[in-house]
Parts: sequence; structure tokens; C-alpha cells
Amino acid sequence: MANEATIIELIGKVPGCPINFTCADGTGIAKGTLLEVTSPRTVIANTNDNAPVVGIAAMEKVANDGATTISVYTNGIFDMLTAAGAQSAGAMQANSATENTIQAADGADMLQGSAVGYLLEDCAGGDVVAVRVLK
Amino acid sequence: MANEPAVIIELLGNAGDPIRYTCATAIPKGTIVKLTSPRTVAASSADDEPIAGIAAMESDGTETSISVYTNGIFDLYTADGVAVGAILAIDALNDVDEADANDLLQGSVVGQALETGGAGSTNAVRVLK
Repeated sequence: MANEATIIELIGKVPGCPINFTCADGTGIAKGTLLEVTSPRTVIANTNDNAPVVGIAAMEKVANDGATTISVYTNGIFDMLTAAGAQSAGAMQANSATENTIQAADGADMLQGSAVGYLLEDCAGGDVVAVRVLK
Repeated sequence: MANEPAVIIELLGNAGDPIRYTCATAIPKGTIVKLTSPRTVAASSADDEPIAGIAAMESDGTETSISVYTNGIFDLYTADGVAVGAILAIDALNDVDEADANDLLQGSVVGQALETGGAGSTNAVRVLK
């Protein structure tokens, strides 16, 4: 994996408001990975456009380390990689088919849970910018 | 009174989950603030602006940063009226109305109405930004 999100600020009474999710023991997940949810309450690294997103991995999960749960940040400000295309501050962002890469959200993203957060600064596209994440 | 700043009813999370933003202009406490790049806020004054939250303190225009509430319940003014449960977006200075689909994508949503109010009323709104 590459281009994982980087913490700028964790927000909430419990910083980052982490939520525990199930993950497969055989799966490796780098800290800062954008995660999508599968049923039941299980996360995988996001590589599917339009998948429902639950947050950002708060810890590293080493494949086959025996752990079957992972903590996921749901509230904070993170540096994240944007897809091609200039956007303005405030624009809602969704996941994409490329790992750890966000793109402009559309109406379907808002309904299917693919929204990640909104930009706190303008982006040129393909650059790393601050994003307010709240899931 | 029209366009009066928001009044706190209840702060949620970590005392309203305030977030620090850069600012360069005078902002009264309780003002609904818009987001500009990079990570900067100013008083929101028009429809369709991206919203960051509600000013948690006053900035007299000489300060360079301000704290913004992002999580709570506030009394907000509406010139047009709102229905309970409706998603609300910015319309003018400290004035919200019912959101449209574009408001969702451009970040103009302020919160959700917790009560029904007529034109020119002030109503409780759940704010989460």
C-alpha cells in the first residue's frame, strides 16, 4: 500500500473517535489506510469505487499476526491524496478505485456511504491536501 | 431579530468538537462561518458557500486564528422557514434554509432542523460538520 492518510488533528472526546471493526487475520492493513466496510462489520483496504467507507486505519495490521480486529478513526483532519481534477475547499470527497485516493463525490456517493469528508483547502488534483473526515 | 448569530443550546462531543481555523477578518461569536483555502474561515454571507461550523469565539479582525464549533445543537435563524428533520444549508449571513442536492456536494449543509419554524423564526438545529 501507499499514499496512506496522515493525521493532522484528531477530534472528539476520545481523539479520532476510533471504532473497532473486524478484519481478516490474513489481511495486512497499513496505518492510515482508507477502509471500506463489508458485512458483518468487517473492514478491508478500499480499492473499490462506490464502496461504503467507514474511516481510516488507526493502527497497522500485520498479515497473519493473529489479530482479527482493527481500530478505525472516524473523526479528524487528515492529509489525503486527491485524484486528478482541481477542486475547491469545501467540496465533498468520496473514495475511488485507487487505494487511499479520494475524488469529488457525486449524489450516489452521498447515499451509499462513500463520502469520506470535505476539503479544507483547494486542490489541483493529484496532490495531498487537508481533509475533514467525519464518519 | 434577523441574521442574529447562533445561540448554543447544547454542545456535543468534546464540548462542541471545536476545530482551529485561520482567519483574517472580524467574526462575531456565533457566526456561521464559511471555508476558504487553505483552512481559513470568514463569516458566511451568501447561498452555496462551503460551511465549516459556528464561531466559538469572537475575532476582532486582528487575530489570525479562531475556534469553530462543529458538533452541537444551536438556535439558528431562518428567513424562509424550515420543516422538522429537513437538512439545512446556508442562505445568507446567519440565515439557513432547506438544502438542495448541490448543497450536499459543495459542503453548504449546516445541519438538520429539530423543530418546524415559519419564516423569520429561530429554531433548534443539529449541527455536525
